[in-house]
Amino acid sequence: MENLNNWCESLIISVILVLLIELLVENNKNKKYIQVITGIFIMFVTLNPFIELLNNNDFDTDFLKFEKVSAKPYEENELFENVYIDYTLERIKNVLDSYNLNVLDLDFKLDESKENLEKIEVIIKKDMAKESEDFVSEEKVKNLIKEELDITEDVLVITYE
Amino acid sequence: MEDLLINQKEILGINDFLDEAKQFSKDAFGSNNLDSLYENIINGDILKCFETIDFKGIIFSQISEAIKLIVLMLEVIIICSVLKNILDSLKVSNAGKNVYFVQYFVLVILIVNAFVPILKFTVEAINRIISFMNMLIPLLITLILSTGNIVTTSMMEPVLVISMNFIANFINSFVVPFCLISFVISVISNLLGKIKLEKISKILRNVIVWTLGILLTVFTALLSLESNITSSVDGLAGKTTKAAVSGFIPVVGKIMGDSVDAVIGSVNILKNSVGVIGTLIIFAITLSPSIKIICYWFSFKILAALSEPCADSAIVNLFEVISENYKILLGILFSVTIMFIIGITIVLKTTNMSLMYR
Repeated sequence: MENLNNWCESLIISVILVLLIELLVENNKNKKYIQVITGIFIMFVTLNPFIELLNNNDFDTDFLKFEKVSAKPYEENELFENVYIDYTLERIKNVLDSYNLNVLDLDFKLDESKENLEKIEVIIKKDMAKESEDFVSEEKVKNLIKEELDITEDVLVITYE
Repeated sequence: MEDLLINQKEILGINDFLDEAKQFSKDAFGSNNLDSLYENIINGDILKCFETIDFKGIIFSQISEAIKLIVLMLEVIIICSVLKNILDSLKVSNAGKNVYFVQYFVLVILIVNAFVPILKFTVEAINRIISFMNMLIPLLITLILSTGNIVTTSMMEPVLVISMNFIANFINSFVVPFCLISFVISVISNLLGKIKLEKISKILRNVIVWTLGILLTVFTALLSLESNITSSVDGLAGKTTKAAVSGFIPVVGKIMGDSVDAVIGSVNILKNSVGVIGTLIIFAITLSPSIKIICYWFSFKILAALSEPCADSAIVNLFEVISENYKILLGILFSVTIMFIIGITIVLKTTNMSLMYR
């Protein structure tokens, strides 16, 4: 597509140039010869892509690539949010599964400008038996989640239910 | 029966659809609420909704715009050709040729000012049709599934969705550049008498027309073939289930079968009316762009005819070629519209036919 645009641009500019030259060379002795040369010039500009094709032995398929344009459905922000929340929930669950912790839910809160993360609340099921080997401290959970999601500690809040 | 209709209308999400669809139909139907249109269609009068479209207003406004453009261009042509003829007959130092070029460039400026907004308008209309179809098709598929046509949905939905996305990509990346290139080349080719570049733009126009025609044919053929197969399968499946239910379940079988029939019948009415509203809204979206393009097309042809006695033959040729470019725009718009209208109609007809088996 770009090749076609470039070719047309050069063709049009060359035609306008030839027009200007012809306007300048009125009633000159050499008018006929100048017309011959400008005709050859335009012919070369027209045939330029084909000469390149003949010289290249391998065709590049760049001319088949065009930008994808999709007619957007009329509402997709909510869909993105849900998918993102599900995805982060999966990641946190994968991290905390090895410690036998049951993650119940995840809550995102954005601040007013909808750009920065204000708080992430992770709800974990409370362990009934608090044996010393199974008990995982809150600090450790925070560190794990912090490493996984690459966020700072102050936005993370863990509640036990 | 009325209560059943109203109840189902809410549950199936038709109310939300009508609210959202209002933004598409604002131009043609005015500030009319689509609900009244919907009631009319359910009751069966379609002609009433055509009364609300302001045909005369739209036509008059577009014609007046086009006439202004014609008058402006005619003024330029007459002044410049008279001047050129005088200068040529006086044989003073080729000033006539310069006048000719000035006249040509002024005309080109006017033509380009008219063409580019119309092209953008057309592409915008096509994009609006496609986003409206994006909204209509899920609702239609839900309604079709509720009437029990499972095979129809599974075979027809991919065709509709894929063709919609393909048309969006195709028009925005192929057709628009080709249209612009053909327009620019046809403007340039009439500049110098000796250098002719007409055939390039002719090839581009033919390519656009042929590919759109092939798309339309393939789409329609695919849908009609599928409609033959799927309607009979669905109809037979529905009939056998109904016979099985009424036959095997001892006490309430027959009553259950009849009530399911009533529900499916009313959902069928809703689906038909939603389909008809979709068709009408697509028609309303394309109404104003197509009238605009038709007005400009005719105005350039009239201009070519009117200016033939006094102006140069190259300028007359210019106007004719420009009018052909407008014809291509019209062809694009109409083929997309007809494709989607036919798609919706075939889908509706298929699902209606499958209910004929009862």
